[in-house]
Amino acid sequence: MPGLTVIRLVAALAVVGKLFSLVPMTLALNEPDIMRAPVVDAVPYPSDGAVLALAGLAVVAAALLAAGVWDRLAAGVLAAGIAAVLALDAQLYANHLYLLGLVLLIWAVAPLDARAASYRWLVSIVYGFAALTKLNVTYLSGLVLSANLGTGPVPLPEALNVWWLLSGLAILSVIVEAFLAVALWLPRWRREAVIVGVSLHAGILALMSPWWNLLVFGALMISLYSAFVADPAAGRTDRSSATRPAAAGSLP
Amino acid sequence: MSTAGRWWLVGFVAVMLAIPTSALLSEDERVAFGWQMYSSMDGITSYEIERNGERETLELSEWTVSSRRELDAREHLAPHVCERESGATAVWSITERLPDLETVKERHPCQG
Repeated sequence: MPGLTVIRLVAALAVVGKLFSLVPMTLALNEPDIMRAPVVDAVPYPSDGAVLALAGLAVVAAALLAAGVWDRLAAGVLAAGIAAVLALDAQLYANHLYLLGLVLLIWAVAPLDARAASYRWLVSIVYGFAALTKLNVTYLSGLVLSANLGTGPVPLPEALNVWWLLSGLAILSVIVEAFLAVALWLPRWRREAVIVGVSLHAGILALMSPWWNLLVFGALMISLYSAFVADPAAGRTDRSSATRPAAAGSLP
Repeated sequence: MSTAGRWWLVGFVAVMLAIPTSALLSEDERVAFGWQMYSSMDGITSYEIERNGERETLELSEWTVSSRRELDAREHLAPHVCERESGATAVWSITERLPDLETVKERHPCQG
């Protein structure tokens, strides 16, 4: 798959997949018993009909993005939609949605020769801050993992739910995220970093919840790894990048 | 890389570093846009409605669409429940703080 195409396809799929949870949540905000927590007061809550119409528009934009037709315009429309969702109500915020918005924003507005570099920096910043924010006693003690591991499809065996093991795993997870923030930049370590990154997200997906959100986050992050092997001009859409050497999109 | 590409990249990276840095330095642990996935737990909070001096459990899922930790439900939840529940005099939040499991009870009185 040439250049950054995998990012575009995963982002388009993520948009459609995310609509399955976002639309019911947004519709629920119109129910009288459901609390509203507006982020930007100027952003109006859409009616039920408007929510469905906007979801339809998002599906069309995602299809165009996946097809590589007017992809920058489609990505821009979708990024604007996600910005509106994040500005609408604090209950709709999610890190994977924010990440998806940034991926689409870069696709829409970054100069083509800076697109791959923008994605590389995004990956490092996400992993770097994910590691930095975990440097606290509560996380490193294993408490957070104790509360969250085993909530996914694979239960955590009781024998493994011991503080010293979870604390060790917590420290290891910080090291892994810090490693990924740096190692993907280094050709010498890139292959190992990809293996570690895929294993990390697969492990999270197996052991933690909410499953769908973690799937979107993990798929987006792994798709962004392709930016580390794309040449600067690989930010172009398929038609232009298809004429480039096939090696541009393959891992070293 | 073109001049436009360089300027874009510098601006983009600066903003992407500034946002989570400000979240990291914030005293409020419930900050969005900080890449704080599963980074901490300040406690487990449950809610109760006070009516005629009696308190009953408030099912958060019946009143919200999400219970993310970035969202301080108390800020919006108490006024909303007070407005919707006739006879409600207050909303209580009961937090078992981690790691010491100290219980902190807060009463959020209904206005008017």
